Amino acid sequence: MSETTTTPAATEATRTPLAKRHGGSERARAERRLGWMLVAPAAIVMLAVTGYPIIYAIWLSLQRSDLGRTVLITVVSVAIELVLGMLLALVMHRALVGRGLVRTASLIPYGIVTVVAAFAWRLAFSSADGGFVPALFNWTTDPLTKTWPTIGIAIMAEVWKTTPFMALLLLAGLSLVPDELHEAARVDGASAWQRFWRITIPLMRIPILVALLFRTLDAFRIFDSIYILSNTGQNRDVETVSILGYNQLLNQLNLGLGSAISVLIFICVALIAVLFIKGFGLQTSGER
Amino acid sequence: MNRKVGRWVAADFVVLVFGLFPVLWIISLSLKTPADVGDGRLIPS
Repeated sequence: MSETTTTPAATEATRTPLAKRHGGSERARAERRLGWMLVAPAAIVMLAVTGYPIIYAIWLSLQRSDLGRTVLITVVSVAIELVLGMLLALVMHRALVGRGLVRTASLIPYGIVTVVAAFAWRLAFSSADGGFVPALFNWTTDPLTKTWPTIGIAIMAEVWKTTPFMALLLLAGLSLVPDELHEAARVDGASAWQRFWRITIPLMRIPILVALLFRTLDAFRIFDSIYILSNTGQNRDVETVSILGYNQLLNQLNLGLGSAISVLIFICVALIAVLFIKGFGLQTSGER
Repeated sequence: MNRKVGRWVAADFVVLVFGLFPVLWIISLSLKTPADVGDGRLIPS
């Protein structure tokens, strides 16, 4: 008997596919609307709780120009590192004398702990700490009490520390450039400068972009050097986004805001990676 | 050829100074006593 009985529920079920194609019956739409209304208060509270710190973090970073300062430090330091790293790679690749010594010596800075290097730069440049550089140049004021000199010294410390890494990546790219091309160009009368720009650079496009990507991601998250040089993050005029997140999270115990800043840094880093991969055509051969 | 070698020696020297001078400063700092760290001298006494 149960096999032949047609219940109202079964009738509704047979109608469902057709109803779905036409956006559902009036009753289904009303139920869906009711569902949204019931969920809405909780959803609004959750969005406010998670969204407010993120929006406030964006506003705060823009107000304090921390984001702009971080971008400036990143762009300047990576640009200098690219030029010096390329020169260093060329010296390591083509040096006629002392190639092993140069390769070993130039890689030593990269092996030094960043905090130790930052303290060394601070003890060299800070008049208050008795640094030898202000005494050497007869500077009357402490450079680490001023904003731009502190940023400049932080960039110098970063460049010194990470140029060997850039050079190492570029050296791997240089070794891929065939010598035969240089020989052929030399026979054709191309100067060293022309060979560098017309042969070396185009063939090193991918290694250069990889090196730039790695260093940009790293430089954007700069923390140690700025933290030490700005008197353990106390000088707010040289604050970067990482220091801002640290101060909010650990010094002021604004856990929501500090976490939101950390998420923002991650989003910025992800955007930089996407920009390099999609925008500058940094793709593997399989993706082309 | 001698001129070329001379240029490479000069380049090597620049790289060595760039890479090793701050390292020597760190070593110098490590050899100082806590009281002497701020004495502003490159070579520890």
